[in-house]
Amino acid sequence: MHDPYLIGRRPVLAGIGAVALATAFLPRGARAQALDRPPSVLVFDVAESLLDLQALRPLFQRLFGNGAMVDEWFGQTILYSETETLTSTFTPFGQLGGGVLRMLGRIHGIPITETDIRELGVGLAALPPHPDVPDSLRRLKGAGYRLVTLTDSPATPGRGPLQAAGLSDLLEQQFTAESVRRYKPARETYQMVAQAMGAKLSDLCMIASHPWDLIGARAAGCSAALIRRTGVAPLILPGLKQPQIIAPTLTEIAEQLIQLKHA
Amino acid sequence: MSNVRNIVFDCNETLLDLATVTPVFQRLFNDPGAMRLWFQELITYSQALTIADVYIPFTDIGGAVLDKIAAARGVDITPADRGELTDRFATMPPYPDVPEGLKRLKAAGFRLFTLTDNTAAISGRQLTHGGIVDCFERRFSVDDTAKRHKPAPEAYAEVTQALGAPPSEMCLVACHTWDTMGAHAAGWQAGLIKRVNNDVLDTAAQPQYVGKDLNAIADQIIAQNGR
Repeated sequence: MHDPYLIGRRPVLAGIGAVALATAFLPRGARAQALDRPPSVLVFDVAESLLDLQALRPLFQRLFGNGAMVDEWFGQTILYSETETLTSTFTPFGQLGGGVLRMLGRIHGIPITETDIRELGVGLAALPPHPDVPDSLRRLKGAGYRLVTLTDSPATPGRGPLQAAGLSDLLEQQFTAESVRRYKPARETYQMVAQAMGAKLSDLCMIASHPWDLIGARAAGCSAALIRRTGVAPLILPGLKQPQIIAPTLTEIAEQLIQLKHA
Repeated sequence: MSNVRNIVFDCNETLLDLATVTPVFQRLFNDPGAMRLWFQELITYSQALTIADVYIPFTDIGGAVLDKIAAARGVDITPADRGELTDRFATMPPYPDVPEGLKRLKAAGFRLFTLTDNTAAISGRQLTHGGIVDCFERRFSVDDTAKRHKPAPEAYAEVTQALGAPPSEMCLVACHTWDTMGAHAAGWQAGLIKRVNNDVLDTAAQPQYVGKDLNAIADQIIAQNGR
């Protein structure tokens, strides 16, 4: 159902280097600028980037008769989180996601109950990690990187899916956009991480499978790595700063970051 | 009773039928649903770029999002494909309820305007092709001076400043809740047309007028602001 080694319908040859992949998608004159030194803090997005959102498909299959609706629900929730930021309003991500689920219910003529909203919340709190995640995080930690997360949803240190997956001990801190009441890709979210970690924005590398997140990170002065999971591709526009690393799994991204440490 | 005098229309999908671009997506991706994904991502990225203080014209973002979806699905697209999308987008016809709804509001004494994320050139082409360009006293584009996409406050402020009108006299009519949220933040009233695949978001500030087409919205605006 969800194979991180597939891009679209095409299998990716494991031997293709990430740099080659990155440049293959960029037009002439917009080559990815490689990192020339290792960042000091790696900042991970969580939902979809580390955790497999497709685990929610059965809920959307039951509600809408179409498991793929999970992608529309998540996409609309991100769209409206951005709207909140642009209009200087803030609804906590869980409430917003519930509102978007009810909006989709109205659109499709399907009543959404409080039980359905609760089931969505429970499902989100129990998302499994993508298979490439546990090893990659351990290797990056072992190589001396400081690892943190930055999410739009509430941070759940001591519980939640990262704890359940045995990964939270690898994380120095878990940051949430709720603290600054502005959602990613607002500059304030990345600034909050830099400040709390005693680092400059240029010392942070944001790692996500969402180009919109990395647009904000790059604009704020961070470096960025795009995990090009199934259905993911960079947004390429003249003058738009691209992620320095683009690779199909976190495994390749971790390899490149570890090589930088040894360079 | 409220005091709306100026009605500002969103264009894409509010007045003009977005389904016109579906055949491009059907042909390229064999998936008519890809059109919805494209438009959703177009808005997601126009907002993300605006939050990141990067301004890129709307149709350029639309072309890049088409490229992105094609790359994600392993489909090759050509400049001709991108050109076909822009052409279809620039010649979307009005929905059948639009000409009558506009005429009724105009006859009731309201001043009518447009505010679009498109460039003035694309928007002019759309409304001229649709035969409704003369309904509007003036057309605004975020590309003119705001250089930030809706729902950034600067987009709505561009209109009120140009008209010298207080926000309480303004009403946005759109089919997108993210746009009515922007109007609300600007102190305007808003009407939401529930076009296909659009509805209210109950966690957000609610539009004053909600209806299935422009005539339903026009009835409510005239009843509340009768002049």
